[in-house]
Amino acid sequence: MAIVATQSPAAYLARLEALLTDVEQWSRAKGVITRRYASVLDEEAYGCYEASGLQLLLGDGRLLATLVPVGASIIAAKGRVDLEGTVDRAILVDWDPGGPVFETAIRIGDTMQTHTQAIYKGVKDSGWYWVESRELSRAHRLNESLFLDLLFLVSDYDLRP
Amino acid sequence: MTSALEQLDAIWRTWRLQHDALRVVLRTIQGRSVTTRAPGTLAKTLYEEAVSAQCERDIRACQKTAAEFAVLGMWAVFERLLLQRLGSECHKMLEEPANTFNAAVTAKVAGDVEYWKIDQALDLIKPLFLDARLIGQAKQIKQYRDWVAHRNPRKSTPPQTDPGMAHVLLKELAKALDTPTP
Repeated sequence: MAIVATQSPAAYLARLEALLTDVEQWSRAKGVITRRYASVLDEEAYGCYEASGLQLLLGDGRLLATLVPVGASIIAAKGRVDLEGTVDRAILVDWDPGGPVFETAIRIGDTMQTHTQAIYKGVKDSGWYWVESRELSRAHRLNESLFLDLLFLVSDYDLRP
Repeated sequence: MTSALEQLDAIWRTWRLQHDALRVVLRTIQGRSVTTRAPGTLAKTLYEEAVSAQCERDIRACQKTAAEFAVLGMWAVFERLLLQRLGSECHKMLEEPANTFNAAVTAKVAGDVEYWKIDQALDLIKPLFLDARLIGQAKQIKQYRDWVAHRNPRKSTPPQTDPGMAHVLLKELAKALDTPTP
């Protein structure tokens, strides 16, 4: 397949690279072997482009999980990467501070007052987030501790201290 | 009659249950079930004589398909609500038509609502929402729905979503459509 990008999703690729670097570091500290692979994404918004994924393996070669780049064109997010394990998948989305919001307007007399409501609580900084609970509107920014929780969630393999 | 909001919640709950049920099956096949693999657990199912690795791949593919179909179902519920709401606006006008000509034109418009392009129908509800992004996101979910329904491997992927985000966005739109305008 010819790889012809109509526009480089450079920002997504930069954030993806930062994510993979973090995960490589966290994995190595737990004795998990990491292996990058190249995948080709083909999005209406950007055309075809290459993005790296990351396989996480145990010492005996068993695959624990894979970080799969999904794309930069995501509804209500700036990008998405899925952590696909042996029993489940965790969706990581790239959000700006505040995350996705709803704006509503209330008319008071002759003036309109707008009100912005964050869809998810806990989105303070920009970064990769995982939604813990849709019902409670709670999301968490990815860090080493959450990564190990998610790895357990998707693979049933517990590396947490 | 079940409301559109209840139907959206029902699809969301059904998908969650499907997802977790498939997770239990995966664990059972992998021999990691919490209750251990009791004799007969997989009897008379597709998994009974399946090769484990292939079966695991099939179930993981099924998890993805179930997520896509959940969004497809949510969109169908939302689209019906949208067209019903536009139709009811026309019928309100028919209650007090200016004259017989006006009544005839309005009746024709009311009858044609079902055949309007969804993007045009979504543009019509903009006055109900200050946040134009929400209308834009609904159009993107429609693109995603079309991609799932008519998947063409030669076509690039539209903006992606998941059942959770689709549920949040479509429910917010449905709430506004469910609220009568003064």
